[in-house]
Amino acid sequence: MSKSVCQEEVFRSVYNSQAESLVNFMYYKSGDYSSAEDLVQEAFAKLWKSCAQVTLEKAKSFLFTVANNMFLNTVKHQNIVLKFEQRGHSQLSNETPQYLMEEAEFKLKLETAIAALPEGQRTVFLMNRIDKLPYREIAERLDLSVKAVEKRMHKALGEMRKISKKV
Amino acid sequence: MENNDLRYAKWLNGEISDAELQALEGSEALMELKKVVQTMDNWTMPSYDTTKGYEKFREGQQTSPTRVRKLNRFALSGIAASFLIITFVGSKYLLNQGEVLQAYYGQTEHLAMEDGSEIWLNDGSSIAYNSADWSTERTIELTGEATFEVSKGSPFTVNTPNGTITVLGTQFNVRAWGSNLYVECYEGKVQVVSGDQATVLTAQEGVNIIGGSMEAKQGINNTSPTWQSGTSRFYNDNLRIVCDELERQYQIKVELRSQDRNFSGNFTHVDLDQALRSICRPLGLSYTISQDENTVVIE
Repeated sequence: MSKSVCQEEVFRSVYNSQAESLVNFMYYKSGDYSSAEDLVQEAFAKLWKSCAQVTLEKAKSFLFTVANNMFLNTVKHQNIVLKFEQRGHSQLSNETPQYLMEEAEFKLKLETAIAALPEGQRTVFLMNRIDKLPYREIAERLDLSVKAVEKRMHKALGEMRKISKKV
Repeated sequence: MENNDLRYAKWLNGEISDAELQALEGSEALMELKKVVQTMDNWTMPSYDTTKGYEKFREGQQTSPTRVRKLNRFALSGIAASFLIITFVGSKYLLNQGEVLQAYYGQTEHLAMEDGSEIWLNDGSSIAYNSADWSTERTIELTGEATFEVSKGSPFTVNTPNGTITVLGTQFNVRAWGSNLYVECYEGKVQVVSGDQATVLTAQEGVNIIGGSMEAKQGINNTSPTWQSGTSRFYNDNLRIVCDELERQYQIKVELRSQDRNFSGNFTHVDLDQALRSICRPLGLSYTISQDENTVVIE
C-alpha cells in the first residue's frame, strides 16, 4: 500500500516536518505569532479532512495554500511589525558599548525594512534567510517556479542593500 | 543591481560560478549585502514545539464533532457536509447561537437547509443565521454574494447592510459588496427594500442599488447567477466594484488609475488575461500584469 496522508503516521511526519516552517511563514505574513499558530492548526485540520484527495507530494503546498487563504480571510494586516531574537552577538571581540548600540540600531532598521517589503518578497526572503530553506524548497512549498523565487529574492536584496548603504 | 541580474540571489543560494564570484567580489553591493546576511545569520524564530503542537491538534480534532453535530439535523449531502464541517471555524464567528458559513477565497460553498431551501455562497462571502429558530424565522445575514432557492413556507429574509430582501418561494441572487446591492430574480417574486425605496422583482428581472439609490429594474437573460458557471457579470457597475471582484477571484491586487467608469459585461474566473481583456477592451483601457502576477495596473 502506498503512503497516504490519511495514515496517522504519515500525517504525523508531515506535521513534524512542516508545522514549524508553516508557523514561521504565517508569522512573516502577519507579524502575529499566536494567530499564526492557530491558523496552522486549522490548516492541518483541513489537510486531515481532505487527506483522501491530497497526495503526499502535494501535502506541503496544500498546507501553505490553505494557510494563505485563511490569512486572506482575516483582517488585512497593513502595517506589520516583525521582531527576531538575537542568538548571542557576532563573534567579533570588539563588543564595545558603541558597537553594541550600532548593532541594535542596524537590527531595528533591517526589521523595519523587511516588514515594509511586499508580502511575497518578505515571506520568500525570510524563509530563505531565517528558516534557511533553499530556493527549490521554497518554490515547492509556495507552488512557485524557482525563477520566481529568485526574482523575489533579488528584489528583496535590493531593498536590504539600501538599508546597508545608509549606515 | 539591475532587474534581470539575478547573480546576487544566486550567490546567496550558493549557485554562482567561480568566475562570476570573482567579478562580484569586492563590489560595493556585495559588501553591503554581506553585512545584512551576517547580521541576519544571528536571528532566530522561537522554535516550535511540534510534539506539543501535535497533541493540541489531536485534542482539537476530538472536540470539534460536538460543534459539528448540530449540523446533522440539516439535510446535507455527503459532499456538502465535508465542506461545511471545515468551514464552521470556531466560536469567534458565532453570533448568539447562530451559525456562520464562510466561503474561503477561491472556493464556493453550498448549504442545504432543513426546510429544503438551498444556498450557494460565492467566494469570500459569508452568511449568518440562527439554526434553532429556522423553522419559524428564516432570516439570513449576508456579506458578499449568494444565490438562494427558497422552499415554500414562512417569509425568507436576507439582510444586507444596504437593504433587505424578503421572499416566499423563489430563486434569486444577491450581491452586496461595499455600499452597493444588486439583486437578480430567476423564479417567483422578490421584494427589495432599501431605505424608503422598494420594488418587486419578478422572474428575469434585476435591480441595482448604488450608494443607497435604487435604479430602474432591468431585464436579465440568465436563469442562474453567472458566478456559478465560472464568470462574474455586471450591469452598469462602478469599475472599482468590478476590480474588487477580480481581486477576490484571482487573489491579486488591482491598481485602478481610471476611477470614474462604469462597466457592463462579464469576465471569466479561469484566465486572468482574458478576464482583463473583457473588462478593458470595451472601456478603451489598457492593463499590465506584474512579473510575479500579484498586481495588475489598469489605466
